[in-house]
Amino acid sequence: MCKKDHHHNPKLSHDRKGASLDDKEAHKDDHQNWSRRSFLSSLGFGAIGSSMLLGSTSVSTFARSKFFNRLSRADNDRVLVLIQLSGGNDGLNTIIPVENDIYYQKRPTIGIRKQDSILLSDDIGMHPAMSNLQSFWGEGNMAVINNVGYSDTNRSHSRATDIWTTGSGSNNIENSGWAGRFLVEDNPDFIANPPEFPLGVRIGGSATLFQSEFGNLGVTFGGANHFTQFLEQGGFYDENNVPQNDFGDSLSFARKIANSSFKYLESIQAAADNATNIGEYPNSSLAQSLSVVARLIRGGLNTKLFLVSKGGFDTHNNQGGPEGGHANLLGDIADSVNAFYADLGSDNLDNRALTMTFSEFGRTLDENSSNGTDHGSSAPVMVFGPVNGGLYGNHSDLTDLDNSGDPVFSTDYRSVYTSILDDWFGLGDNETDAVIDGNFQNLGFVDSLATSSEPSQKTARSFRLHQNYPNPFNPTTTISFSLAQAADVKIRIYDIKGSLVQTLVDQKMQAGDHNVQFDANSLPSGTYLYKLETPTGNQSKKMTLIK
Amino acid sequence: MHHFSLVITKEDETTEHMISKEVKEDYGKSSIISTTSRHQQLAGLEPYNGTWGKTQASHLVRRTHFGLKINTLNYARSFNSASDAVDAIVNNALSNPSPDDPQWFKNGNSGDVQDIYDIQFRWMEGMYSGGLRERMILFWSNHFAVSYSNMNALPDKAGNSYASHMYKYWKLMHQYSFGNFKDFVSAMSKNSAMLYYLNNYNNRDGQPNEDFARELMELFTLGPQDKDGNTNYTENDVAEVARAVTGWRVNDATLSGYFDQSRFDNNSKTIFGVAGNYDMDGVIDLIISQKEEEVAYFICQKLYVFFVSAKPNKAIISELASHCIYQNFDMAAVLKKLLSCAHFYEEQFYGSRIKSPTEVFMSYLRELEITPTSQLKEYIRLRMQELNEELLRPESVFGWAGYNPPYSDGTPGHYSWLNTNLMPSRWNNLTDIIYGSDGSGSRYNPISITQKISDPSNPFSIAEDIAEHLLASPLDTVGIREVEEDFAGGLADPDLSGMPDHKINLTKILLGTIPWYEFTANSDQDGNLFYEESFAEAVRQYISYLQQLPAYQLI
Repeated sequence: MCKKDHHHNPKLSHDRKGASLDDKEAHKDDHQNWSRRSFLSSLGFGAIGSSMLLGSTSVSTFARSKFFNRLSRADNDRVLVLIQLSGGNDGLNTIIPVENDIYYQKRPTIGIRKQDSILLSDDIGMHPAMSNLQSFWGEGNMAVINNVGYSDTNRSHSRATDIWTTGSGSNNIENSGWAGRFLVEDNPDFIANPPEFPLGVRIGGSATLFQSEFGNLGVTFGGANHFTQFLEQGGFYDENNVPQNDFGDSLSFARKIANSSFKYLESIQAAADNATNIGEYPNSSLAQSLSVVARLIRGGLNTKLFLVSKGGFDTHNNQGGPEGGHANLLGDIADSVNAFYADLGSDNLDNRALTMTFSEFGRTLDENSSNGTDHGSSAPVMVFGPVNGGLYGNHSDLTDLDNSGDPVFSTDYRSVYTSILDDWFGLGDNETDAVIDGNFQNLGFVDSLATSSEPSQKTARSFRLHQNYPNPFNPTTTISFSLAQAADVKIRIYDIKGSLVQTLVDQKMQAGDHNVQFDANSLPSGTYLYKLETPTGNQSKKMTLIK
Repeated sequence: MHHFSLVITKEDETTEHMISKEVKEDYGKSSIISTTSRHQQLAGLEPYNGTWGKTQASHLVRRTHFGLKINTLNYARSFNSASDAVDAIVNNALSNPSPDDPQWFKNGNSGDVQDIYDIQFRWMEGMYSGGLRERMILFWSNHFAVSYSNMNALPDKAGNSYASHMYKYWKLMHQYSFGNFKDFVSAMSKNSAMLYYLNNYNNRDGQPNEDFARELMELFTLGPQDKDGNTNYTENDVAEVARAVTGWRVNDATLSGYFDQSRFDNNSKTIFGVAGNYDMDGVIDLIISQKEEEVAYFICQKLYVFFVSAKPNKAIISELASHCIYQNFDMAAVLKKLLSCAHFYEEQFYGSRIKSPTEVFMSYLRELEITPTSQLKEYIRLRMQELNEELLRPESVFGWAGYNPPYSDGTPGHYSWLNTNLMPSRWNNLTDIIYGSDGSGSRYNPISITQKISDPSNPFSIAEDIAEHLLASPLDTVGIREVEEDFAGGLADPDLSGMPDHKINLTKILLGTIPWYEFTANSDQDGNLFYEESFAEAVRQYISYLQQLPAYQLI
């Protein structure tokens, strides 16, 4: 529900005419009126911004990082957008077991009939309000992971949210977010060489997600009205020279915020000034948040992780069925995600963003006395963008229930994270272990073949991977590559689902040109990805086997 | 004479008591910074019997009222001790009559959001001219969180009467703020707005709705875990409590909750392992009797965070909890203890809390004595929405993170009030208020505040006095910019002997290009003082500078 009072403050109107490039004059006005301040201040509650100059952390902790020599990888323009659904989304009415009698017995008033749903398969339907995701499903740009949860489900909003954001088990207390830990692994350099852009950007949602041992790595957008004045005032405050007590802690925090209000501003404003949105977005805060994300991606901000959120999912009362409160919430998700990818797709940026929804728990199988549902257990996770579209894992058959009468999970939520870390961000095993504790299966829903655009000419390359010859091939083909200097080289072959098929090369090689034969004798026809990994970067290409 | 916390230990004793060192002294005000580990021994719940002066009284007034109004400060200082001042302040709040009902409420049920705003405005007026009572209502509106937006959003809730329900909820808090906590829980559980908000009006035998039952324990009385991390209740308890609190409904005509026996689950329930045919009051009695210590700790921790520090001190809170039990959960008695104890006046707490949006606006108005007009109240209402704190509309069932104990990862709750968006918004808004961009059109006239707290013709005094008035922490800790330029005007140099650096810098910042010897207040023919425009403007810009210091966010 919109917090802003449009009638009294037109600057904050969501009714932004001119968002589309077609409305030329209005668009120009829009760009000017949608000034930095209003652009940035329209976003709601955000992260605990914190300076990257973490005075309380000595530089010696950096020495523990074993990834010192690793430079940024070639395919590093991939972005993950997390959509947090706060309150506990009713998964059973989102991805619906439309052939399961138990579902209808337990939900006499709010159950959704097969004929009212959007069929994803013979026995699974999607809530009808999500019609704007139909094309995603049809084109293979949507993956649904069924019945996701963990053992010993917690049903308290705050604890359950902590579990999902920290990537821990029900009985472990973890203080850092899984995304925070990922950012630490992905940016070993950041203490010695703090980046000019924020590592994570949060527009609402849980602060814990970006929390790391070095502080909170997520930042919110800041207003910039007194930027110049503030600099004239003498700029930055000393965050460290404070008493060692409660007052000192609070003072230091307030100074950190004041300082941070200006630290990332330049990179964010440069990105925002550099780009506009393409296409119309709905009038919801979720859609507006995603429009900001799209604009920053287009504008060239190097941030990899974005968190946006939508609340209102705690539907204890009068949830509604095909229509009603919950339907409206789901409709907003579908419309907003659709607008987001339509925007990015206009200039081929859509393959750069992987988007995932999550919620702290699903809801009770049984409806309650108020035609709603109470806090439940597992629920589906939806992933959009460069995915291998389809259903993953089995929907609960609604007979295997826990003590509260709710479905027992079949896929641990940490598998979802692991899949993304492995296939989307290309994190090696050691690094993934540092982010997610425990062994979780890669589900294969990420389309790791989705390559970003060719690396820019600006990147100095010390290697080059060539297209295989012949292509298509059967059954052998030659992969050639060149190295500017001797290096430890791996060449790995993956199938369309992202599973590793073969490690073709794994050794130190000298500078110069190299050829390697690949024999696909025992493999089925299809498209495969071959990936060259060196200490200074990776490159991948596709090849086709036709038997 | 300033209060030192100095403990002398024998040489061969292990140094568990930390010796505080005096680091800087200026003009009778010292800032004591502990040079050793932060695990120093802090004073406890014993009554504070140190110096009762401007510093201590300011701290008490800032924490119990919405900011430091000079009359309130003088009132607090008129007493001989902290205990006497606290007694007076609490008793005044206790005996304040309930507000008069607005005409719209008397006219009949209202579902008009403008009437909700009217409640907010009345509350703001109360905060401006009152103090502890309005502050406690804010505390309770955070603890027993109910949001009006939930009630007008769903059709079968009180679409046509929710404003009236919220008014009754607000009045209930006037009634019980300082009374018995157990009675309060009972009354609040039956309040119509609460019944709607947590869906207990729809909770009936055979089809229990767990929402309220869970929150009764998780939010109102126990919390999920006790202070040692033990679980306070199980999922089973929640389900059983849900059964016990069945049968409650709302009568929109009378704006009250009532019990419908036919909807009540009239069978035995087992809660905390104890069986009985509990009803609403039965459950509340059971919780408080079975878990007396946990309940006392839970509510005392909340009070501690609201009045002392965002970081709970387990030992102090435990002691306060014992006192709470001893006083049979009488909130006035607990408050008197907390506000008059030596721990409360520990220096490390001065300026240790981050102001909420309510506190930022109201303290600014009270400090500068800007009476809230309708326009200003409307301005503040809108800005508070943007700053994430709308009165009567808490951000979640937990109230506002900013007023609550730390997040599970240890992050203090009050950090949520500030981020790189919200802080600059605060700067903008406060500047707008004194520059008339709040819709009032007229700029703030600083002559009367300088008369009240300083010497209006002496820029050195004004610079220091206004800074001290606005800032909760000692001036040498607030990070005042070092101004290298000389004072403007070449005719004479000011006598700076004995003047601390911060005072010199502050005066330079105040004066800017105005020669120090020209700054003065003029008299009109009736003997009233006034400032010529350039001097008034200098003071305004100076106030604008002060409120943008990070230290201004602290109280």
